[in-house]
Amino acid sequence: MAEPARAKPFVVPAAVAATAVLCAILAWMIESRAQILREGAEIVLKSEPIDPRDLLRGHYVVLTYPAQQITGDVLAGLTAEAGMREPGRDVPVYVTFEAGPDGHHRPVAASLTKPDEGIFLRGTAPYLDGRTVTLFVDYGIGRFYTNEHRAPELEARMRAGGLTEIVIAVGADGTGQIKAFRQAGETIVTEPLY
Amino acid sequence: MASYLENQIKDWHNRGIIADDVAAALLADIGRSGAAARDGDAKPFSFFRIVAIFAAISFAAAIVMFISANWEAIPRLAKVAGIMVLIAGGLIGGAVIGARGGRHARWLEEAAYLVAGAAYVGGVALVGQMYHLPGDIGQAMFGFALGLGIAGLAVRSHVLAAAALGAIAWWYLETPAPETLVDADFVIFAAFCAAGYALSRFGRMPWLRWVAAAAFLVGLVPFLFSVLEAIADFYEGLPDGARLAIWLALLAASLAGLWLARGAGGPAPAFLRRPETAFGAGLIALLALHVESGDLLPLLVVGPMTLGFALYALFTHGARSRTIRYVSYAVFVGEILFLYGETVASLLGTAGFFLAVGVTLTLIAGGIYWAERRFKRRAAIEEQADG
Repeated sequence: MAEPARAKPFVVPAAVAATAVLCAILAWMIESRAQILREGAEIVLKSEPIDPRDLLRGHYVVLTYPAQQITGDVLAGLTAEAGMREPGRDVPVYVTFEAGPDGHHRPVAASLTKPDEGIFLRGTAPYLDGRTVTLFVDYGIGRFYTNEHRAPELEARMRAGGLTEIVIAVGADGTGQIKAFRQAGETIVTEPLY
Repeated sequence: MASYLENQIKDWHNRGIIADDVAAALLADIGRSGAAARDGDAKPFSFFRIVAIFAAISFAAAIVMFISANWEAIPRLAKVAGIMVLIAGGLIGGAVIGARGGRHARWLEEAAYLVAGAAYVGGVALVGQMYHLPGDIGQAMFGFALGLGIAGLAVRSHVLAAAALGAIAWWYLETPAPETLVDADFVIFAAFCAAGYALSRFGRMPWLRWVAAAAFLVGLVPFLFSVLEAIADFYEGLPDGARLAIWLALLAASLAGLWLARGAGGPAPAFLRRPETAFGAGLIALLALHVESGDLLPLLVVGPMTLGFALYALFTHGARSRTIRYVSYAVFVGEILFLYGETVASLLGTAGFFLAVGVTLTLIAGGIYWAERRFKRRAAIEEQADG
């Protein structure tokens, strides 16, 4: 060190403050998600493994949902809304869900603005314009992290059962959070709050 | 045993550079911090200390093994709490070490901050796993940049600030359109780099300035690339005559520059004192003419032009500039080989080609030897004249 060491003013209080900020960021990340699990409305989505042999990448399971593809009448309102605008990339989309007779929730409406009522998930559409026929929506629930002990068991069950039910907790702003795995009404995995 | 620094201070004192009280204070301070160090030097081997270090290593290894063996069994909140303790220990501990000062304080301080930063990044990853958060590493980089940046600013740490700048550059490269400079993403990125620069300026951390500049440049790479592409497209669209004119004009400017810089010394403009710039510009023009020789000028013209340029550069600056001299030799030899390869090789066959190359290279080597002797003699005469 060629230059003389100079004291940094207020460095210890600043370090305490920085610690508080970093810990608060982590705590906020945790609590914002735990709150959804605790208080959020529940919907049940069907999930289908596209290729069961490719379920596990690293330590997470890739989940796909039929509800990610939006077509027909549900999409019509959205394309009418979007038709006026430029084609968008990574467009925020709100999809309203209602329970069907089999207990699975299905998309019934989609909108570019936050709905006033109903249970809705907030997702992102990679591409949207007025002529979109099938819209792909990413709800941010496509990954399920698990450890190497639980993963093979989970994978085997999903492979044997084909379709799986995923219970999603939905926050007030439409953020989805995976809450539990079910297969034929039997709960396989329930996520802890913390 | 007086150290070099002590002798130096006494010398300054004797010569009246520093006052009596300053010298006394400095010597007292050296005595205090140096005494501890010399105590350690005096006892290089202590059985007790070795045993203590081994015990500490064993304890640390046991703790690491215990944690990793039971990692899955540790409640997730306990893991998060442990990470928060690491963050607090790193940041506050580092600040305390730095404030107390001492021989290796600055390095220990930065090392402690590094531990805290790594713990924060690990904590974000852990929470991402706990709640199955979507998104890839590029998006996570923004959170890293923000957290590390706040911490780096607070404790004025080189390591944390540099990590934050690296993270923001990574994040910016992963945004949808890093080549457009008129969107919010770029403003955020530029503001981060400016903050890094400001920290280096006002926190008196000169090294950080280069990190901020480097991060900014890395973020600009896609933009610069698109600019280069636009220039290349524009150039491709020009008519042959215009392209030829560009390179011939550059070559002419280079020749003129080399001529004007001849013998220039003393109070001449900078570009005249650095004839290498003009030489380089000429080489670029000739290289472009070679690449374009299919469309613009045939090799039959460009080749002799290149040889002539090398000789001209040797004539004007060979004696003074070693760079120009050796590059000119290389260009000359390379051009000869290239022309042989393009023209004579197909006529002579491989053996004859190598024979011809050998003869030519011998002649060139002789020429260079002769030229070098002349240059040396001329330089010696000039030196005598100067002296």
